[in-house]
Amino acid sequence: MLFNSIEFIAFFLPAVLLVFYLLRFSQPLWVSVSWLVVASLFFYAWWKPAYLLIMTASIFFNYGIGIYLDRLRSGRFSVLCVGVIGNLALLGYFKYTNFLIDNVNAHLNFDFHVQTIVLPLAISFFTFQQIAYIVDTYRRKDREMDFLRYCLFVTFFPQLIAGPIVHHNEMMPQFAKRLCKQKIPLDMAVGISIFVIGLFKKMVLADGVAVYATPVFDAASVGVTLSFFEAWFGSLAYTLQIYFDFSGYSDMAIGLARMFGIRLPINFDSPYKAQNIIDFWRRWHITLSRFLRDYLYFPLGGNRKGNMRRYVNLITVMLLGGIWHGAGWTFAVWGLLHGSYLLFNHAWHDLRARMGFDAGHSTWLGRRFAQALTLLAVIIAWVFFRSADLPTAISVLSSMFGLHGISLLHGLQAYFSPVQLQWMHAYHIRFDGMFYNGLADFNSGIIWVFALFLVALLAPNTQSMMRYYKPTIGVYNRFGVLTGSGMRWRINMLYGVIVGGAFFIACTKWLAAAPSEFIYFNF
Amino acid sequence: MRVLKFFIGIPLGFLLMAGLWFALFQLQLGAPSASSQWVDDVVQKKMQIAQRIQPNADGQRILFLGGSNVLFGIDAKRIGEAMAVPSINLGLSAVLRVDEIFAVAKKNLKPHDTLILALEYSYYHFNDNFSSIEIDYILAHDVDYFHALPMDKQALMMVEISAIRLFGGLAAKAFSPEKSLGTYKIKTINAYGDETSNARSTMPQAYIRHMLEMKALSHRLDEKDKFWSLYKDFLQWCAAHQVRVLVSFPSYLYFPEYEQAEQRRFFDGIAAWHRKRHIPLLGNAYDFMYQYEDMYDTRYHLNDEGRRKRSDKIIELLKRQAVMMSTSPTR
Repeated sequence: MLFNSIEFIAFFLPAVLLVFYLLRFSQPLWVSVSWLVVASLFFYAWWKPAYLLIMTASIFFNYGIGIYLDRLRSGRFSVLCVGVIGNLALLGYFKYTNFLIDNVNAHLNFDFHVQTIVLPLAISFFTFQQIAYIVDTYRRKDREMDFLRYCLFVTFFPQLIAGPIVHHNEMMPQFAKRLCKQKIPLDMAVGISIFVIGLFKKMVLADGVAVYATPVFDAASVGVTLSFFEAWFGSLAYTLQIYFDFSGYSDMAIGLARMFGIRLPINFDSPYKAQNIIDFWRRWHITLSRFLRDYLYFPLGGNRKGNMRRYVNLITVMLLGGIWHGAGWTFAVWGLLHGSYLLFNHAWHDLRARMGFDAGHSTWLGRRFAQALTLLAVIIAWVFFRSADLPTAISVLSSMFGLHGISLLHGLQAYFSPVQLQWMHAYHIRFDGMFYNGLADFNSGIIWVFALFLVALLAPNTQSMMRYYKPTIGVYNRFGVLTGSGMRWRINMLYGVIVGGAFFIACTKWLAAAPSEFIYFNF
Repeated sequence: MRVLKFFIGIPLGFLLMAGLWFALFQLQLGAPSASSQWVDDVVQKKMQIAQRIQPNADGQRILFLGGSNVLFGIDAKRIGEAMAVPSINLGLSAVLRVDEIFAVAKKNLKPHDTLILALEYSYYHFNDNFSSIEIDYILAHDVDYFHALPMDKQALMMVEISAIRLFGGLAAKAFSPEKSLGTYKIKTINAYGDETSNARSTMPQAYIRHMLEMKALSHRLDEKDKFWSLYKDFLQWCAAHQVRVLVSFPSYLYFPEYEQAEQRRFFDGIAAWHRKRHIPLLGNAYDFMYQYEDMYDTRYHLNDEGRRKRSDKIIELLKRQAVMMSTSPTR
C-alpha cells in the first residue's frame, strides 16, 4: 500500500487512526499498541504476504539478541557479533546474492546459476534500524523487554518502508507517554498539514518532473545518443525528481506519525541549499547519515587516527552507503564519488585552516559559488544513481560534457557566417536542434525545471515552516522552537483552505494515473 | 477554536480549488495553444485544398487519408499526374484521434471520390484513453469534440489537464493567437497537401542517428479495441456516400523483427480483416516498410526519396489493379 494511494488515504489511515484513539482512551496501553502492530503488519503484507515471514523472523532474532545482550555480563561482544552478522547475512542474501554471482560469472568465467532473488520491501531499513538497536543495547544505551513494544518499534507503518531510520530510545518513550485529549486535534491538524504538503510534493512536483527525466535515461539505456541539452535536462529533471520524491516521502512519514502523536527525527533539510558536500550530507537522508556516522564511521576510527585514516574511512563509509542503496556498480560509483567529494571537502577545509582563513567567514558571492559547485557535484553523481548501468551513465555524462558535440537550434544557423560555421563545425557545434531525439515536450519541461529549482533553492522547507509546532525530533532553539526562518505555517482557517486546495490538486493526479512508487521504496 | 476552523477550511479549500479549476478550464476552452497550433494549421490547410481541388470530368478524385505518414510520405501531385485524376494529400497528424481524422474526411469527401486509407499502426490499437497531446489539441481546436464526449470523459479531461497546460491555455486566451512551436512549418505544404520540407539532402545528421538508434515496436491486433467499431462505422458511411475505399499501409521504418510470426500476425491480420470484407487492398504492409536511408525524423515519416519510392509503388499498384475502372463502391 502506497502512502499516495486512494486505498491508504481513504480507507486504511482513517480506520487505523479511529480505532487507535478509541482503544488508547478506553483500554490499557498494550491494546492500542497491539492494534498499531497488527495494522502495520497488514500494511506491510499488502504488497506480498510472504515478505511478512522474513520481517517477523528478523524481529524475533533481534529481539532475542537484545534480551541476551541485556542479561549477559560476559561474552556480550560475541553475541553482538552474532547479531550484526546475522542481520548483514540476511540483507546480503536478499540484496547482493544475484549481483555477486553475476559478477563472479562475468569476471571469473564461472557458470553459477541461482534463481532471481526478489528483494523484500524495506529490508534495508528495518535491518539497519535493528542493527542500531542491538548496538545501543550492547552499549547499555537502550533496552526493550516488551516484545509487543519492540514489534511496534520495528513495524510502525509511517516509517517502516523507507525510514526515517529511528532509534528505539527516541521513539518508544513517546508511545508510553500519557496522551492529552486536548492535544490530539492539534497533532492531527499538524500531521495532516505535513502529510498533504508531502503528498503534493510527491504527486504534483516529483511525478510532474519525472516525465522529463525518465524518457531521457530510458533512451540512454537502450543506446540512444543524447544531445548536450537533453542530457543536461534529463539530469536536472532527475535531480529535482528525487529531491521532491524523497522530501515528499519524508514529510508524509512525519505527518502520519504526528497524527498518532509521535514525532519522528528530521530526515530532510533543504539539501540543495548546502554550501559544501559535508553540509549536503547533514541535510540529505539525515537519519541514514546519522546511522553511517554512529555505527560505521566512528567504529572505524572516525577522524581520531589521523587524516589519512579519516579519508580512508570516509571513502569506505560512502562506498558502503552507496551499495546499501542497491546492488549495482552504479550505486558503488555514486558512493565512491560522494566519498571523494567528502575527502576533497575535508582536505580543503584543512588547507584553509592551515593558511589561516576563518572557516566561518565567506562573502555572499563565495557562498553562492560554493552552493553552485556543490549542486553541480551532486547532479553529476545522480547520473550514476539513476542510470541503469555504467555504460548508460558514461554515455549521459559524455553528452553532458559535450563529447557528443553540441547541437543548437536550427534557426540560429542563419546568424553565423560560413567561416564561423566552419569554425563551429570543427568544434562539433551543430544546428540539429537542442532536443533532437524528441524524447519529451521540453518546452513545458523548462518551466517545470526552472520553477522547481526556485522552490528547492529558495523556499523554506516543511520543518522550517512548521517550526512552532515542533514537527520533528530536531534542533530547537532556546525558545523550544525548531530552528528555521521565513514563512510560518499556522493552524487556522486560511491554512486549512490551502491544505484542502493542495489536496484537490493531488487528487486530480489520482484520476490521471495510478500512483507511482517512491524512489526510496526500491532500496 | 483555530484548530476547528482549520478542519472546516480543508473541505472548503477543496471545493474552492475544484471550482476555481473548473472555471479556469472553461475559460481557456478553445484558446489556441502554441503546441497544437501546427496540427490545426495542417487541418485548416488540408480542408482548403480539398475544397479547392475539384473532380475531373469523370467526377473522380483521389484522396489519401492518414496521419503524418501520409503528409510526409505521399506525393499527391505526382500520383495525380500519373493517374490523370486530381489527387489530394489529406494526411494530417497522429496527434488527432482516429475519429477526428474520420470527421475531417467526412467533411471533405464527395460521391465518387476514391479514398486511399493509410492509417498509422498505432491507430489500430486506438482506445478510449487520451494522451496529453490529444487533450491539448481537443481543448484548443476541437471543442465540439470535447462537448460531444460523455460527462465522465469530460470530467476526467478536466482533472487530467496539467497546470502548465491550463495556464498556457489561459495565456493563449489573453494574448492569442500563439505562434506555432516546433520544427514543422505550414508554408512547406504544397498545393496538393504534400509536405515538402523533408529533403534528404538537407536533413540534419541527428535525424539519421535517431533512425539508427530506433528499435522495433511490438504490435497486436485485438478486434475488441475501440478502433474497429469506429472504423466499421466510417466504412459504412463511405459506402452510403458512394465513396470508394482502398486500404493501403503506412510508410514505416523496417526491422527484421517484423518478419517474425508474432508480428506477421498483426500486419497480415489487418490485410485479412479487409479481405474478409471484400475491401480492396493496395499492396501489403511490407511493401511500405523502408530502410533508414529513406526515412526522415520519425519511424513513420519518409524523406523525399522515400516518398518518391512510395508514390511510385502506389502508382504501380493503382494501375495494376485498375481500381479506377471499378464502378461499385465498397460495402
